[in-house]
Amino acid sequence: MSDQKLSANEYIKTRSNYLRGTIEEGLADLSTGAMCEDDQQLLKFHGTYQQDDRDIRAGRRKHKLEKAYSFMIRIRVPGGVATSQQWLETDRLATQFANGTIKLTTRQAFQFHGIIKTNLKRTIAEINQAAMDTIAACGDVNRNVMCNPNPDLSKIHALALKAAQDISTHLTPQTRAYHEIWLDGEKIESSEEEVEPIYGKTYLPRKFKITIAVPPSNDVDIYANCLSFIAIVEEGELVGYNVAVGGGMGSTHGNEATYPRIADVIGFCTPEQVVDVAEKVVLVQRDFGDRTDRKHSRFKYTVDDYGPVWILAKLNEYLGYDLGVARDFKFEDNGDRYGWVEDANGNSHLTLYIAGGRVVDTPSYPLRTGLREIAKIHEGDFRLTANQNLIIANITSAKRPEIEKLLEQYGIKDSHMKSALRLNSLTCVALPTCGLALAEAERFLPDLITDLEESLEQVGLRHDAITIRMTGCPNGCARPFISEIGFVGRGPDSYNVYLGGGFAGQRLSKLYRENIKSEAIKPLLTPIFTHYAKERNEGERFGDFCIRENYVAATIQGPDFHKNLKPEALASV
Amino acid sequence: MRYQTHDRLRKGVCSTYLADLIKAGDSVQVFVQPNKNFRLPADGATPIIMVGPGTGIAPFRAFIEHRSALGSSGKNWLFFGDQHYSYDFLYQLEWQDYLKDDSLTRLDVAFSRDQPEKVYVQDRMIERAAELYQWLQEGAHFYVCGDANRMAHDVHQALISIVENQAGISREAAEAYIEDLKKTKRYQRDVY
Repeated sequence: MSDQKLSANEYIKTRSNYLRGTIEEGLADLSTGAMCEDDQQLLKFHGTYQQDDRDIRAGRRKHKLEKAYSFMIRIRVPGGVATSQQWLETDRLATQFANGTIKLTTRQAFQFHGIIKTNLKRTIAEINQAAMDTIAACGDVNRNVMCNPNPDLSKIHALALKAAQDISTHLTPQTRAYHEIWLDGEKIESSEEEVEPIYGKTYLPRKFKITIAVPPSNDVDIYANCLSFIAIVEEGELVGYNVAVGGGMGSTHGNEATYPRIADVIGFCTPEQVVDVAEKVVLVQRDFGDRTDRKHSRFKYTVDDYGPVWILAKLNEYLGYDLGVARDFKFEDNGDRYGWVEDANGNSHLTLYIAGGRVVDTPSYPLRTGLREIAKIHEGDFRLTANQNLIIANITSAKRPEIEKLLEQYGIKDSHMKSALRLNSLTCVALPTCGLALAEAERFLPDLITDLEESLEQVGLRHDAITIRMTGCPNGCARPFISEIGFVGRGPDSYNVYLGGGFAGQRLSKLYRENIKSEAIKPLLTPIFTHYAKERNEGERFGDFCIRENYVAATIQGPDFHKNLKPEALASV
Repeated sequence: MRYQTHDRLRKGVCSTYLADLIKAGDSVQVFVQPNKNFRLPADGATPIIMVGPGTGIAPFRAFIEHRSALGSSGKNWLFFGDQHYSYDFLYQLEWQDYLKDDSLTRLDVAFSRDQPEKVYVQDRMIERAAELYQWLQEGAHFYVCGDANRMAHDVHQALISIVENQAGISREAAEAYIEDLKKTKRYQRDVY
């Protein structure tokens, strides 16, 4: 392995001097709104991606303008919990430097789009002033740690959230590059050796994603993450966590060596062991992950290549003790629980439906203004869910009437009075900013759902929850391959349609039809909805039905994702 | 060119003349208004500093093309400004090419509406005061083109301040320094 050529990013990391590269020089060069290739890779570790407005690409060259470059900035929010003050600052920065919107991501982070290079440093500095940061929000490191946000389970949730925050802190890169570049931190004297105790100077082979779930909710989608901890509650007490490894979504069209994979539950640890287990799993991936091929470097492939049994043995060796035997648990779904709940302390929590996770004002729906007004008086916190929704959490009984009035005033009160299909939808950003998108997603899924609602309405399925997810490319930010209905962009106005995912995110889907034009989706799915309405068993989920009725074969695990396709699944050549 | 601003319809003088009053095949009278006091230095080795926000950029394109074509050895420094980086960076790709082949030595830009506070070319000049004064001391010619109402005045004031601070001399002495630049035709303006 050692004399094999490593993937290009490994050399970029090696020569970056702990993620510095030439980022400072690049920021100072105002002749271009872009950064050089190497620095673009390094910037991800700092929480920002270079993008460009793809809607207006055409014609700019003729006007002697380069592409309309801008940056996406992702704010880390461990466990998705932000204070009212942080909400207000995020809102202010969205107006001042971004495109006037806040994107709540599928990993409980805030995202800004459209920050131009001249404002990049300042925006990141102001995010830090608001007691948030962006380091390791992207890049080959541990990303934002997710955690089930349901505060009504307050005691268990508080412990799970604390674990998420502890893991996040423990796995944050130690390089001072971030402070030097963005916060005018003092430069390290050259004699001082910088250390990155967990990652080393080449960090991880690829991004790494960690979640904590509290059953029966699998809202954080543990099966789609590198490492997850599943809270085990016995007699009302948190006794520990099951450990799951090797999930992941990303794949590449036309490359069957790449595939989504669901995580394996390999053992159990106590609450005290969580941070240690997280670190050691990261170390196993650091040491054994494939650094020669970035399309094969996610932890899921390490788990597949070596096998979960070997991974567990190696992990036990690194830990110096053995994980316990996994305990029983049961997930019911991976959606959110909308509306009001009250907890034992008398606080109220309201889960709002946020279409596409996009907090934006429109003339008919001033959502962003409404939330800003609420943040001004709200004494509790805001919680981002893994489904891109928002919980206004810990509303005191004293403030509730005032907040209810604002919800009414800005039309937010009934945000979740939607079809069950829409309430169980998820989409990535895609066009116009994401450079990877092959097709529309966030701008198209709402209209598609409106179309599909007509069909569902006709057969009486308006209130039946079916998970439906769309991404612009097969990297799968909205986790489309564990959805009951999944759409993945192939090209402009062209999607692969997947069926048969598990309602709790516990089973991968299977390709049902390839290269389907947007207007062909409704005619394709309507007969299946009708069939489902008539022939389903009691309580049978749509994904399960699609397998029982043989629309698609069940996918057992990643390596058979591309197998057992129906002949008609593939577009005729 | 027609657009609405502050509830008033604005019309471009030239474009609406051509669009509304001229038919295909008509002939149009065009004349060049020469400005003999706005010329490159005779010596191609003399450094030049150009301040041309907005449409003020136009003559400097010609300056750089000219010097590039002749292979002149003099250093060239351009200050450009406009409202928005992403949409108003006139001839951006050309400047990038000129920077790459060294026809343009330095480029400083100021976009006024990309951030809460306004930033203009004169602010960039002041940020680069030491180097700018150094260039003047090396004999650089200083050119300003564009808006006469505010920009030219602000740039003029910035220039005096730079000389005052960098040379460590009085305001009056700095003004005299600038006057001398004018007299020796090293400070030229084409403003409107």
